[in-house]
Amino acid sequence: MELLSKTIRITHDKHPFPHWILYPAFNELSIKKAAAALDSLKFTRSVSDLFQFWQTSDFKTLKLPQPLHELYQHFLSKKFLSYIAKLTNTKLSSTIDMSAFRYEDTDYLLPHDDQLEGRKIAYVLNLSTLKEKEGGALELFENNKSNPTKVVKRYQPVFNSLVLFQVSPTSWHQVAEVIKKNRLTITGWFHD
Amino acid sequence: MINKKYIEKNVLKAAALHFAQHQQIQLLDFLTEETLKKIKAHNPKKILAPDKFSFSSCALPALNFSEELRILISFITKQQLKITEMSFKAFEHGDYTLLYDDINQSGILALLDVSSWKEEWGGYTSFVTDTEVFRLVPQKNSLFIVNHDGLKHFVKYVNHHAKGKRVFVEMWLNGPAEI
Repeated sequence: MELLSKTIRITHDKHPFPHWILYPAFNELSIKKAAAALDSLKFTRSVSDLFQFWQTSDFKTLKLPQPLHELYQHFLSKKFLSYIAKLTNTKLSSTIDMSAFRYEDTDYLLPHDDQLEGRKIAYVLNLSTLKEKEGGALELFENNKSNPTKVVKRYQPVFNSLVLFQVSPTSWHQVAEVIKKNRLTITGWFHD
Repeated sequence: MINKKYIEKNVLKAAALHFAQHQQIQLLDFLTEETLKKIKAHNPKKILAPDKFSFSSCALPALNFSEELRILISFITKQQLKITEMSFKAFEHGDYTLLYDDINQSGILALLDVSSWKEEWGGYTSFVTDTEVFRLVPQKNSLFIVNHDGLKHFVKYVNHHAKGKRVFVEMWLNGPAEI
């Protein structure tokens, strides 16, 4: 089944590191159903020096409700993987990570570069929309010799937008503190 | 000046016993109000390395009770200590420190908290080995002393509910010999 939206628009920016925004990313009805189905998943509280949020296990370990199963299978499909590989000019395997995240009031994710064996392209599928005053922006850092210096791009979550970026020693990013709102995403990585 | 009760021998002996058992202690109501005000008057500057920390800091070269403090901490920890580092720090909304590889400091760490604070604002100090061992929730005018050997610590991100700043004096003390 084709889930990609027929009216998809793609923006690409190389600064401060290569990233892409696809909007609207998927068929509106399918994505609404997927977002609603998140309610039935078990979220666990994750807290450290670096972050604070609610997170599900990786989707490959879960029995997913139909709309999420469909979305997961779509991400795993050869057609979609080759679409992403071509878009990002990256060689990808059929390995992906996928889990859902919920940020509530005061939750955040501080600067990190996402680097881990095999991760090539990170993705964030936004399943909520937050205004600027509600925080939750994905913020990208400029770097100096691979050390993050300052935030130079901010992307407020917009429902049904898919943000992709290349994972590298310079892909420093963070999620701004969420203010009195829930920020829902499905997030993970495409591997090589 | 230090609150007179912390000059009493029996109080200090009880504190030393507690420290010997727990390797940490918190002394409440530690300074006189006047001294507390003087400390608050310092003007720290923001320092930022996004992958490591964000807070304000300034050096504290001349606290007039440093020597008194050094003797007191030496007595409680039963070590002949010298102050190796002393700074004044402020954490406001958006500030934090992260654990990273080169912060495995050993010695005695003393934190003298100046302001009232709530745990739900973040900004507390979390001491960890692999996981959190304990958490110092700041209390106004309290001195916390800990044997930092084998520990790391971070200051939790200060969230938007925080009212004001967490300000404290941070001291590192070292000494090879036990008394």
